[in-house]
Amino acid sequence: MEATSPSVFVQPIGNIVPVSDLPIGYRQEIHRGISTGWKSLDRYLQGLRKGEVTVVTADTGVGKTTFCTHLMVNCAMQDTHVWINSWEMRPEIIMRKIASIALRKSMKVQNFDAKDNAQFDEWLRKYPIYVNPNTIGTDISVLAGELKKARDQFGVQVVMLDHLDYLVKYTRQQLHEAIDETVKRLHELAFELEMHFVLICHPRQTSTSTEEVGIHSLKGSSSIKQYADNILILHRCSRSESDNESGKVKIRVAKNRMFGTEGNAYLFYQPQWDGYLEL
Amino acid sequence: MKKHPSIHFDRNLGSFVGLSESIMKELHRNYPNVALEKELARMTTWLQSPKGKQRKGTIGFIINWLNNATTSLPENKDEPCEEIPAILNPYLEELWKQHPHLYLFNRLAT
Repeated sequence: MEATSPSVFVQPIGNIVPVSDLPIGYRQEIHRGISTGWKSLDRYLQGLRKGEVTVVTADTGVGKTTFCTHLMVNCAMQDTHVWINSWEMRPEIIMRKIASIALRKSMKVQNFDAKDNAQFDEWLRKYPIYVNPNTIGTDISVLAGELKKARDQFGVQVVMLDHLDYLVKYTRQQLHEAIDETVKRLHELAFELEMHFVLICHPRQTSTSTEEVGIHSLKGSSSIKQYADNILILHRCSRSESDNESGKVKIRVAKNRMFGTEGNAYLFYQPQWDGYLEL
Repeated sequence: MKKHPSIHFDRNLGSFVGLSESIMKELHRNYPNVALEKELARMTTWLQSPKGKQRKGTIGFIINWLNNATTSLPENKDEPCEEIPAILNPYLEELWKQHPHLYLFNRLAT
C-alpha cells in the first residue's frame, strides 16, 4: 500500500479528530482519583475518579448505606464536596450516621449534648458535605438537573445514590430495559458533569444469608456490569462458615475499568460508632 | 431443555416426581452456579406453604426458580487476589500524600 502523507488526514471533520489535535493539556493531566480513605481498598481501586460510576452491592443488612456514608465522609475529609442522596433513609438518620463517624460516638442511640453539638458543628464547618432531605424517589431526568446544580452551585464532585431502584421507573415486564436505560444515563451524566457517582444496587435474592453475593447477582446485572466503571461487593465474613472474625467485612473489587486490578480488601465494622476501620 | 410433561410436585409424597438422572444432569450443566439440590429443597418447602399450594411444580416452575437463583453457590470466594503491579505504587503514594490524617482516622488501633 502506498504511504499517505500525514498532512492529508489532520483536518478534523465533525466527530473525527486526529489525536495530534487533542489539547496538549491531556498529556499532563492524570485523573488521579480521590482516595477512598482506606489504603487497603485504594490498592485495588486507586481512588474514585471523576467521570466514573462505582456500584456498591451487598446482601441485605451487610451495611451498604453505612459503608457508602463513611466513604462520603472520607471524601469530604479530603475537601471534596459530596452530596448524599438516600431515598431509603430519613435525613436525620443520615445526619446521625455522619456524626457517628465524625465524632466516633454512637449518635444513632444518643442525643447530642452541648459538647457533641460544638464538635459536630466545627467538623461540618471544615468539611463540605450535603444531603438530599427528600426521601421520595426521583427520576433520572429530574436528578440530572439537580446534579448539574449541585456541581455548579455547590462544587459537588462525589455523589452517593442510595439506591438504584428509586431512580428506575418500570413495570414488571420492562425492568431490565429500565435499569439499562437508567444506568447508561448515569454513566453519561458522570462523564458529562465530571462527577463521581457511588451507586448502591440491590442484588437479587440469594438462597441464604450466608452465601456471598456475586457480580451476577445484581438486579439487571448485564447493564450494570457494562456501564459501571467499578463494582464493589461487600460481604460480612461472619455470615460465611469459614470465617467467624467479628465485624470483618470483605470488600471485593470485582471490576475496575481504569486499572483492571481486582481483589479483596478487608475492613472491620465498628458497632460502637457505625463505621469501618482497616488494619 | 426438552419438554418433560411428567415432571410435577407430588403433594402426598412431598417431593418432585419425574426428575430423572438425565434431567438432573442437564440442570446441573445449565446452572453451574446454582446449588441444585439445595434449591430443590427450597422449592419443596415453598410448594408446601400456603402461597405455593396453587403451583404444580412443573419443569417450567423449576426453570423459572433456578433462573432467579443463579448465585446460590459462593462466587469468587477463594479466588486469590491479584498482585498489585509495582508500577502503581508511585501513583498510590501520590494519592495518599495529601491527607495523611485520614488514614490514621480510619486505622484500627492495634
